[in-house]
Amino acid sequence: MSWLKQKLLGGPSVTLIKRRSFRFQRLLKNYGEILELLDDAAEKQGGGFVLDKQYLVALTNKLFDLADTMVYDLNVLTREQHLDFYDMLDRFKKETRELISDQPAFLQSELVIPLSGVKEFLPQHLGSKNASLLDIHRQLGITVPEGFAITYSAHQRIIETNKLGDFIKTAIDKFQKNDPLAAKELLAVQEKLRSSAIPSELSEEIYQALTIMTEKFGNDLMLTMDFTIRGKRIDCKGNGSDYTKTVSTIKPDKVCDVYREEITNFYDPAQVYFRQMKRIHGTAYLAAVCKRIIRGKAAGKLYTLDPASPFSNFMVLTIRANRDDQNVPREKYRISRHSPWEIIPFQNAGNRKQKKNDISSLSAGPQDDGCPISYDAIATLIKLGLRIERYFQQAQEIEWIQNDDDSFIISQVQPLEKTSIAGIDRKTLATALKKYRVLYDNVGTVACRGIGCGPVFLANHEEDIKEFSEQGVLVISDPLPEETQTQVMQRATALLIDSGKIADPMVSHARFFHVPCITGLGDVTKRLAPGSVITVDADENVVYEGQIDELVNYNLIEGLGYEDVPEYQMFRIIQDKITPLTLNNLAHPELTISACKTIHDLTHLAYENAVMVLTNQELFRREFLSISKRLAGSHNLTFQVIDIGDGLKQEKSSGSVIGINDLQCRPLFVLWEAFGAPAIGSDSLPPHADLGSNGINTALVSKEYLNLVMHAENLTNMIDCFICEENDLNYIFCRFSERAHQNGLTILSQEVMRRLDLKVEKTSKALHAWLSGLAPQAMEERLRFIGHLIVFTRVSDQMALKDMSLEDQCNFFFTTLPQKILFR
Amino acid sequence: MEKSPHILILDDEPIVGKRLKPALEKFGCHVEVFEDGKKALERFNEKHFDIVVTDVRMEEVDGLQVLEQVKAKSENTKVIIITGYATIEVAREALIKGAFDFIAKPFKPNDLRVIIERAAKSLGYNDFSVKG
Repeated sequence: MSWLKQKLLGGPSVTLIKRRSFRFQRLLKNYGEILELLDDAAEKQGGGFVLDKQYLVALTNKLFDLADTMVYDLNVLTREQHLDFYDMLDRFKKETRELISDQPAFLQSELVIPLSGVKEFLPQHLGSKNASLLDIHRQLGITVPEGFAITYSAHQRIIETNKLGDFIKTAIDKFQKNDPLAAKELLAVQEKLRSSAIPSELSEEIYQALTIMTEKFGNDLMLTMDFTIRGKRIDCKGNGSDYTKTVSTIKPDKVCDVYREEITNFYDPAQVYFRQMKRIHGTAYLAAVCKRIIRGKAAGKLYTLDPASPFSNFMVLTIRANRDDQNVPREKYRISRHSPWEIIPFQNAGNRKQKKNDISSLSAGPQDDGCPISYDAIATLIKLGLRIERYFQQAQEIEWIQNDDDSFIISQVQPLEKTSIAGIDRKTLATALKKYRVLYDNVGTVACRGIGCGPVFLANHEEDIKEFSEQGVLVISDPLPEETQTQVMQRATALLIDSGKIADPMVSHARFFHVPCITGLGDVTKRLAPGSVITVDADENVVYEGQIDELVNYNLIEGLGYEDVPEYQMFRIIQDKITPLTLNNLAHPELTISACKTIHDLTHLAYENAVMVLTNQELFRREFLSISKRLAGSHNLTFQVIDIGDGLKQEKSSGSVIGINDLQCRPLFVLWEAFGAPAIGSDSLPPHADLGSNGINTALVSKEYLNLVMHAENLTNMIDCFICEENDLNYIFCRFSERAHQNGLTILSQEVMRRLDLKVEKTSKALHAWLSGLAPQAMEERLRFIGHLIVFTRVSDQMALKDMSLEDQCNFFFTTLPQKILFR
Repeated sequence: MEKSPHILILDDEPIVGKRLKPALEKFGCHVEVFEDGKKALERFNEKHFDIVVTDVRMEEVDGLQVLEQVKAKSENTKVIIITGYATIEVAREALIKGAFDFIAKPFKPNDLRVIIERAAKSLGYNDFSVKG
């Protein structure tokens, strides 16, 4: 401390370190709350809860409040060295609040996006229907027509460039009020749009996209353009609803003309009136998706449920060979939804009633019956259709094209129109459900909603996955390695897991692929027999014995599905902005706020910067060493202790050395005892020489509070905790630096802390764990185990534990300790 | 008496109805969903509903107004309030005005079903159950 500061503050001050400690405690607590909120959000995203936009508003507001306070406390701790955190936080706030505001959910994006090679296809860019098509291409690898999207942002750019925003708004507001001048003003808008050029940056991007396509497909290229209107409906709070129009058979050199014409027509009084009738008011925009027209050898539609009899377990397939010839009649078939595919031709195109004696099984191949495509091709198409249906968890109307090489392209997907579906018998459904035995009812946690059924496939080992076929329910004890997750998710109709947490990567994968998933079931791998057929209702968190077709079909029609649900879309987008920890190289000295992509990044970086202050040995040595007391015991471990409030007995206020019996700080007492316990599995004392001897170990103590910093082998470990009689105030926060070449110990530590109910976060730099809200005795027991864990990881090499499995190491740890876990 | 109650759900957030309708129909309930308070009340005037589940904060007609009008027309109809803001004041006011119970978002469908089962049983639907 400088001479002047000493003069002013009267020497190194306990008050100063008290204040610093308070800031740090609050920062840690807020970070812990943020981790809990993110976990809670992950659970809600599973779909097991009814929520609305207000939940997202409350969640983000709470997160920002906590983040604000963290950034403030960080800057107090570091004397305003991190003011740039405020700017970054403000940016995240602005972006997130715009997303969940009452404005139509338009995301600012590029003006033209190629349909291939883009990571996210969001309805907010280019409309739900097109987003769905590109979603199946990206997630399921299904071939779709190539092309590009002209986004809502492009339309916005046209309006801005021509300075028509206010004029349009006024005209549309007048139109809503039936002002006779409104139509005239709209016509004036149209006139202006007709006479102005498309902004050069937009026309340039369209030209580039067309050039790429022409080079690839030649001058015979023809396109179709799907236009989607997106705007806010006033009779519901969902952000945006889609209405589409298709313009077909367009030559590349006419794309800009067609686009401008449609933008102009958008402000035609008749179209504005149409939107009003659909209760879309105010701001609305057009997006366009240009897709290549493909001339295949056959085309048609597949309805994954028969609209006339949705509970009949049949699909409807229409086929027209040689699309150019409109005189070729359309063939129509009913096809069973389960293999082997029973194919029943309709008597004629309009007749959906089948007489029993007309039903014939065409296993020999429908070509014998005049069907233009083969049985194998139909089987391929049906499997594609069922995959798409399973992905969206809704019955689908799918437009398809068969190429000359017999492969299929899917040109359009949309949910089956409900108005075209015959009524559903609720009594049939309710009666059916009562007939099936319930195997699990609200036991685990819903990680991804939806309904799936099929035979159970037990995978006890990673190698078992190779045998896993399609349309099965995968049942596993623990989450699988990431490398195998994608292939599994594309095949499973549902996923049941014994253990696992809602934030596990595999569970996130399940949500990504819309695979109904329930985790934490406990004994599912022991209870379910391989090959037995079950139905998983992850909407209700129930598993039934048997295949309940009525439930599956009902869900396909009436279920929530995964298309165009604004709240879940918004949730997913917001989760991407708040939850992931993307900072990869936290140890990099150049890591700055600009690397932060999410709220989690920002708050984690704030926390790490605060930890650096608290664990700064030079700072401690310079400012606080002189007011600390040395705590030493029968083992070699020592700490420099600073009492910030009744942490030591009064009679020890003088003197520079203290012993364990001089402590009033209960948490330190507990840990000290844990460090000194006989080594696990051995009668000799643990080698404390390497528990913390490469620097000054420090302990800030009060009666209930402890901040412990241990330096060993160039690593820094920290425990910060508060334990009192008020459960809500209690917490434990641990930070253990990652030890090079000892990944096994890190995994073990992670698992042990999870079993102690701590929330664990692993980064490249350290393992972080957090727990709060338990009664003091429960907190102390866990603290004791953490102390044992620290010793255990130091001596485990000597016990040859590395050859044991993780499960066995954990069991060894918990069962051979001097004290058992009382709460298990 | 029928075995299952007739339920009207009113919430201006479409996802609520989309999520709850299947959750109740699976147990045999007859469910109609509305996003517009005025339309919901018009329908209530046309047809008797045993249970009304309504959000408390909506733009044109709020849940407490719905509660009052429902009780004025049909004393026996049980009204369950959904609130996004679990405040004691809202709950107290709703209960004073005759609400059967209330539930705060976010909630699991089964939590609402349990309340509906109680309401149904109090109306004499003794065979109605939300357990499998």
